[in-house]
Amino acid sequence: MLQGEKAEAEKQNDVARRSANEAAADAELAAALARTREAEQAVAIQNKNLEKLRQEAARGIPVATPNE
Amino acid sequence: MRTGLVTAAVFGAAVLGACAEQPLNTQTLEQARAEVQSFSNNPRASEIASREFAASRGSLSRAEDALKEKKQEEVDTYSYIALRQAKTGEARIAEQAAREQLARGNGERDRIMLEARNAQLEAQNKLAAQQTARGMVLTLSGVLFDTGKATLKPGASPTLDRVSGYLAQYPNTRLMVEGYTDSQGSQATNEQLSQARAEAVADALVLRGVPRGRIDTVGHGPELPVASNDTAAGRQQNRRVEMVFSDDAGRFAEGAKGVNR
Repeated sequence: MLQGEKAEAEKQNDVARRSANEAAADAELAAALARTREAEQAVAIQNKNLEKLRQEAARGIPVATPNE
Repeated sequence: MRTGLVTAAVFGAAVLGACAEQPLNTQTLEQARAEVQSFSNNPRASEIASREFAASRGSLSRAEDALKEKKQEEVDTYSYIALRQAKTGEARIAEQAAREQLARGNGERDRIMLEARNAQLEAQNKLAAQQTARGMVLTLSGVLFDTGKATLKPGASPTLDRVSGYLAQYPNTRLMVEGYTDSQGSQATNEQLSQARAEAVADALVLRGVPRGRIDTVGHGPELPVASNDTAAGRQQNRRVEMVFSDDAGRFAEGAKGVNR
């Protein structure tokens, strides 16, 4: 392979490697954000359920089962 | 000729100077610096997101090295990666915080349920009812009715007050009021009398504010005696009204009728 072609190939490899690294960082961030969103939604649902439970307990209504 | 050479030299120097002074674009790098700094300042970063903590600092360091070497593309790439690694770490910390909140919420839910259950048990204890196979049962017996009559005597009032208080506290609970007689007299009369006694108890509860729709009544006559009908004392025990409480969902146990089995 000519010197110029070799240099060009290396340059393209370098670009591809950097693109792949950026894509991997994007994917990890997207996955982490999705997990965080899911956990925060679970907290929001739990807060609603707890509020309902507190109100029921205050009114003396027997409360729901533990594994809701 | 000389003038032309001087002009060319001046132009060439100007071009070279311009090339040497052209600064690299550090916009992404600056964002990365700020993000990594902010992430590193989080006291939980090294604990919860140790991988991202190390990786983002490493990537930022490589971006700074590339800046010194004036490699624009590498500056951009490593800055971009450092920025995302720091954001990933922050997301991981937020996720962990949410999961910890969920765990605390579970504890809080258990506590509320335990307190509610304890309050219910305390209320049941105050009621002085018996826990039986057909649920909670409270028996009114003794001299609450005259023989052959269905008029409730004042002696029943304290118990009925407790029952109405309990039903007010637990609005999903229903009540089955069952009337019984001793074996004296005809079957038909005793059935009517036991029904009338159950109705009398239900009416007394309605007067205390219990909705009539939550109370069922039934007369069983001399069925299911709790004592011998051969003695006066036994017959007095058999002349009774039993109040059966439903479960929390308003359901009665299968085959709820009868003595405290």
